[in-house]
Amino acid sequence: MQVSGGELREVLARVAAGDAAAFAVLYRATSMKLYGIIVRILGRRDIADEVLQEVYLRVWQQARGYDPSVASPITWLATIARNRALDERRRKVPQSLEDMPDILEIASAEDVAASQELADEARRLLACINDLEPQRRRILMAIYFGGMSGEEIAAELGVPSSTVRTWLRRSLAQLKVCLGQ
Amino acid sequence: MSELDDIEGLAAEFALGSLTAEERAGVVARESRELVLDKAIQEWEARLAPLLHAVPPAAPPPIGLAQALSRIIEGAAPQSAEIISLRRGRNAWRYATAGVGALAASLAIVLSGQFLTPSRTVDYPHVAVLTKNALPSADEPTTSTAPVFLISYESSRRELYVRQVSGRRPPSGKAYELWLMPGEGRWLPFSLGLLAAGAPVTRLAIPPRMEPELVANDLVVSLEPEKGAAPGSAMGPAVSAGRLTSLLR
Repeated sequence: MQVSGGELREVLARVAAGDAAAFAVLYRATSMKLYGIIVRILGRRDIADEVLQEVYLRVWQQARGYDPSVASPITWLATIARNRALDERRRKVPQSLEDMPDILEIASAEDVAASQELADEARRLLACINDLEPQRRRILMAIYFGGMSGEEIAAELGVPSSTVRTWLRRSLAQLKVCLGQ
Repeated sequence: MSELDDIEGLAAEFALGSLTAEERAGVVARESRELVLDKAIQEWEARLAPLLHAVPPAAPPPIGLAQALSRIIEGAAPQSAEIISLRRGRNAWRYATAGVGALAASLAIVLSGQFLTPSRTVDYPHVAVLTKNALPSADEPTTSTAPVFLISYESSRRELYVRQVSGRRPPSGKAYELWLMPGEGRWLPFSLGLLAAGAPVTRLAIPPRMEPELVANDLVVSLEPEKGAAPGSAMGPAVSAGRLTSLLR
């Protein structure tokens, strides 16, 4: 179901007013995207099913707090989904970088560039990520798409957590400069 | 190389997702009272959000919407008056039965089967949330005590599963009864059965001849004597209503 950003804003406004029918429209329009994000981080559909429900419950409860000047509706929704999935992921058995071989495929510039949904800003962001040192790029992607924590990365690489934190902050600072923001 | 200060570094790591559970909880607690941190998190989430375009969508379980709606209604029971009508685009209908003046239909939200394929090899249930916002005139506001029902239907078993999720229970000596309303006057309201008092879920068998009508006509819950409406008598006061209408068109 394709719904424009403007239409989603209207739907969210109706959800904020307690319109359950609008909520159903919102669910139909966005659940596949949010579920994809959740499954990507959690890797298990049974847990993802439950998290998806919690995400939409949170959307229902927090729709009044949506501010269109801060984020598009889908970004707002996706951020809620991703944060909830990360919280759940932190309670699970740690995954390994080796358990997520497809993460780098998903995040590669070629794959993303092939997506018709790709916005210019996504292309710019990926170009900046590709400028990072390969290992740090891989770490960044494992965290963003795989939900790994810095501690898990540190344990896997056999380095102190503080080292990974330093790498991450430098990588993120480099991204910010590259994006000119 | 430039460095991120502590606040922005923390915000960036939160948005990236690298923090531990404890660190995340700490950030969430601080975020609500530290505007600088809150703003930095929003900026970093927006900065990284384009990566979400790279995540392929995935089909959630078909029952997901029904479950989400059920949880919402359960969680929002005291504010159920906020659930508003779906009457736009539909004519409010009225039943001029004895004991009932008129009734406006309210909300019916349905998730229908065949989510993944148009074939009938996989049979997913139809689900509806029934409530009302006007009784007997369209001007009467819904109250938090108005009963709301979650109904699912599995055609493979030809059974309805009816669950009251909020609102008042029937008074002593009374019971709720579920009816299938006539399509364009082709038959009288058809009783699908009494809802068991106190039971979390009532299962009601659907006669094969009524199955084609089930998704095409309105469902109404009425208040009846404890043993149900007597055969041939008029339906009691309607308390909740709606129609199974697929949203997956």
